Amino acid sequence: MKEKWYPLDNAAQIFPLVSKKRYTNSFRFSAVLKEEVEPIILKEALKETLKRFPTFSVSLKKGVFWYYLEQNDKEVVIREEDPYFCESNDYKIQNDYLFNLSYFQKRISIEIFHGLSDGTGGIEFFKSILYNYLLMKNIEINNTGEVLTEAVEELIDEAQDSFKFNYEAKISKTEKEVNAYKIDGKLHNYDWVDCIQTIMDTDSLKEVSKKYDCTITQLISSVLLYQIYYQFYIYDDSNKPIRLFIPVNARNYFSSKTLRNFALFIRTNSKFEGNISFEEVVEHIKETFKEELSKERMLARIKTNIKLEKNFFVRYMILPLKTLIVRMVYKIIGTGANTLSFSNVGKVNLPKEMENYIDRIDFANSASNDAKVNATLISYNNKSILTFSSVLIERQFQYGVIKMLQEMGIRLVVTTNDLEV
Amino acid sequence: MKKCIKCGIQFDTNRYTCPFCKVNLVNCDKPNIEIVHQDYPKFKEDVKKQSIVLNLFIFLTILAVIICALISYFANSKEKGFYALLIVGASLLVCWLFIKGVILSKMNFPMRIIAFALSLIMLFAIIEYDLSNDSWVLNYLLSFILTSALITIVFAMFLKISRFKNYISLLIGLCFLNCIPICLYDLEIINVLWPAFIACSFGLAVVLGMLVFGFKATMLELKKRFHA
Repeated sequence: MKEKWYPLDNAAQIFPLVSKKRYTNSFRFSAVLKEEVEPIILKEALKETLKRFPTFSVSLKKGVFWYYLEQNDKEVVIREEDPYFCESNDYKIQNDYLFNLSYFQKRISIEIFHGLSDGTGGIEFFKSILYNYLLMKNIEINNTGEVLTEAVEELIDEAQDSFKFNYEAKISKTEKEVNAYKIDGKLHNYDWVDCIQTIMDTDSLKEVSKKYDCTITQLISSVLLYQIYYQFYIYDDSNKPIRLFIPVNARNYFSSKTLRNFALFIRTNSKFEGNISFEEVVEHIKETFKEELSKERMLARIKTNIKLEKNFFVRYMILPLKTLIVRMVYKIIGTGANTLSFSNVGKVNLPKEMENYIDRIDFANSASNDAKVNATLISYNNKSILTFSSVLIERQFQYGVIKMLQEMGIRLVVTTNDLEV
Repeated sequence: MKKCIKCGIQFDTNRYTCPFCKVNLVNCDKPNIEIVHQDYPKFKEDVKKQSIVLNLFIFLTILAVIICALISYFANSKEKGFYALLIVGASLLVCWLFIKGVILSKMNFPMRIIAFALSLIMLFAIIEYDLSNDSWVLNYLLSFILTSALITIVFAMFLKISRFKNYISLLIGLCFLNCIPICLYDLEIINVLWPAFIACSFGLAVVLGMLVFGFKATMLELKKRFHA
């Protein structure tokens, strides 16, 4: 059989160039089951799943000008969960696979390198692993298309670089973006990443969103923005705007079935003064979403990305030199554009029978010195989990957000990976 | 389930204190949401173990350099002493390259061979600079080391043909390096033809072999590596 290889998609090309130990550009999905995980079955489930997901069964290779993905036939590796999350970019110990599947008690976790896929592609892969795992435990599941299995036809479009596919040369590029206000504080020792998860009742979350006439993403974005303003910005003499970076699943706006990266983003540009009400912040967020989610604006973002990749010098610059220059530029420009990133993967759809075996699914992003606090949201089984990953010792921001959500009437429970300090 | 009396937030945790206000948590009978309890793995400090063997090697290397420097100083032959020091220094450097770059390295096999071959050439060039002026390194040794490196990699590849795709770019690179001696002969920098001729012939033979016996595979590998 002909060996498969894939050039990195447009969004993925930057990740291998800028990844380092403290900034792995990976994200994590976890599922807490109702029974202890059986590692041997889990490994078999992963093997089975990889047959259906060739774009995940790859390793990262260096070319002369760009990195690329090459079919990887090595034995898969699963490990016991590491206390550090999203902090390993040592693919050698994973037999060169760009994801790390681990288990701990009742939890199955997968950390996926962003060069491989985005949250939407990643969750499809994870769903399939969970499905195969439960199937191998002799549980009867009636899959009505929620999970991609070998029975569901594999489409060529799943490996598509949808950025290039939807590129329109006539659209004008986006304008240059200014640096954002940054949340700062004291860093944890030992490169520790603090993970605080807020498990919320989805029904009560929906009710509150309805009250403010906005979506769940808009509601949480507003709470984050409101807390950044009142906890940091108001006391700081900064001219820089608060910029929430909110990835958007572009598959919802363009016709694409790709399992690789195809996310665009909304970036708020918020500069408030004096006392503002939460309702005003919600209106501001709604307005920003309306402006940024136009197809023209998204095409402009695609154009900006593709244009850079098509640039003659960027394209034909040899990889070591490209890595050096991109790292320098990224250090100066790239990391300064966002105050905080908030990513909502949305509702996870799994066959009804699986709800009896999976209690909850959570999602987390890596945090680093460049992006000190990040927030993510995912919903499954009437539980919406808001996860904060942070390298900062201070937790007043997370506390402010959680307290505010609770005071709004959302029923919630908090868990943390942090030990007693 | 636990609760913080001060914050009013419920926690599913093994902690004794609230992660936000550090007040002691109390047990809570009525959870806001029913969830399955799940712990996190215990944090372990990542302590880097110091290797005694490695430290011993570092100690011996520094000691050898200091002793050589002292001998050359007290031998009162500054110029000769300097070269002696240079040879010892270069030998130790190659020794280190061999240990770190070949034995302990995570690089793939051809890369290690090439790194070692180049460091050997460097060492002998330094020795030659001190001992003689008849260019034996460029005339003979350069070709001999490059050819040996190429033979070793080709042999390793034949042992496991699936290595071909991992070795190909370095193999092609080494074939080009094998053409350097003949270029040097052409530029009249070296004056012995036969070793240069053998190195170049072997390099060209390997390239030709790749194209004849594995044309499709070679082209695919080149396409992957040169895609832009």
